[in-house]
Amino acid sequence: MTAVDEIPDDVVVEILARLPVKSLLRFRCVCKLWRSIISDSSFIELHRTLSFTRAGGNLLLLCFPSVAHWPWRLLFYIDHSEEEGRCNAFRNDFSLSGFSECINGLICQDDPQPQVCNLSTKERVILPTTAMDFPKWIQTSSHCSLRFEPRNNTYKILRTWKVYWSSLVWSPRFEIFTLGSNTWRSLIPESNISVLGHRHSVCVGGTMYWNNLREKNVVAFDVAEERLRLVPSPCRTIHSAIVQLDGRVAMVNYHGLVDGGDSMRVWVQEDDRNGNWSMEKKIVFPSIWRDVKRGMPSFCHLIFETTHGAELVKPEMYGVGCPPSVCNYVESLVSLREIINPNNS
Amino acid sequence: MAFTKKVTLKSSDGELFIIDRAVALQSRTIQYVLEDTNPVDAIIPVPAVDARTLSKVLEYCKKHLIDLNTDFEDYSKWDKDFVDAEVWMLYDLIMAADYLHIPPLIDLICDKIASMFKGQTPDKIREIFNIDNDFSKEEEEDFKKKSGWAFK
Repeated sequence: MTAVDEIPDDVVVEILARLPVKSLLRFRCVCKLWRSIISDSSFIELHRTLSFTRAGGNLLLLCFPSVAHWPWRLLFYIDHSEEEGRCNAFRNDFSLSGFSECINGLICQDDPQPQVCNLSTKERVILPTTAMDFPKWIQTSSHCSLRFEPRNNTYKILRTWKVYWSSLVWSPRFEIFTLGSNTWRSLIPESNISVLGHRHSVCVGGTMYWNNLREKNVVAFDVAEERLRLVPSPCRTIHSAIVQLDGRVAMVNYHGLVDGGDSMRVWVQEDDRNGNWSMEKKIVFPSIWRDVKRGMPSFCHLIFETTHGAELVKPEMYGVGCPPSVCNYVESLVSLREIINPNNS
Repeated sequence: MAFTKKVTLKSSDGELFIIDRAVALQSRTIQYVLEDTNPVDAIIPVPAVDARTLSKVLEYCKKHLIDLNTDFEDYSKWDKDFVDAEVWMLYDLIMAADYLHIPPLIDLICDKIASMFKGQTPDKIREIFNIDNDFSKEEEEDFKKKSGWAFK
């Protein structure tokens, strides 16, 4: 390559915004100007937007929980921009299991202690253990999820606990952490709220939703107000999944599929406060469904894409003891150090 | 018919290019000139771009005229060959695309340059861009210590 003269700054920005995070971490030490471009918040935002479509910028993370006799937790990523969809293992720097959804390149997890990581820059922040005062003999389990609140430009972590008073009896507890603060804060819900659906929550317009499994309603958590409340569900929450559809909350009821039928129903939430849902559609499955169901091990999940004509694919994941957690991951330069110490960067 | 109208462009080194108006309109800079002044048979000067680069840019514009018979696949193969060039040629092209304001061409070339730079060392990048290293030895060591994995 031969040298070129004076390239304008806006062209430099356009080129740098198309590079993987790993290259940018190296190119920060090209010169002071490049370092300031790469650290600039509007550049970080542009880079993240382009990462959605850049080859290698948008990954699918698969994490297999620990299996008995096999102590390793594995995190795979699939680069679906490549034709073959290569599957690579992350180096074992992060022992991730049951991670949250990816928010601006950050994910949080709860094991072995609560932490937030940027997988692209390999930056990690360990959070305080808990503010809960559990007796030593008590068994607990917890799950964390990370949310971004644009109004105050803050990241919050909601953590739900299951506190086992005996092997069968447990009660839920809630706490919240603002990234940059020092302590967890306890949350007291207004009514009887289940934590079971938290792992499968969705976030729409600053509110998280998950199924309140035992009841016919949905848990809503307003991230800014930090308020837990219940909204009515359009159907029984058993055999239902809460999803996001065109930026709105939708409920998919697949009871029909489990019950020997061949259809599922979808409702879309019209109004959060009054709990109005409109019937979106009834989805009838092709006849192949019955054959697929017969040969499907109970632990397998069916994944199908509607964009390519709603084709059902028989899963080929035999031999894996438990379903992996799957999430979409988009590369980002977002700096945890700056979130925690905004004035000291 | 608007489609058969011709426009004449003049490069920095004085060469004239007579092209279809529709081809020229892909450049927003030229589009503004044509909307503002609507020159009839006038020559539009392009002082920032030399003849060799301008002919290459126009080659791109001709190919990318909306043609319902060409599908997306054809474009991506053609585009790939189009940017298969030396870095100095890409540099001239991006300066021209920036001046003429042709966003899809800017995207195409930036993607290509980024893919060429992806695995390079900071030293090599400084060499290509003629950039002076204004960091001290200690500062440079500090970078490598903080994110050493990125340098492997």
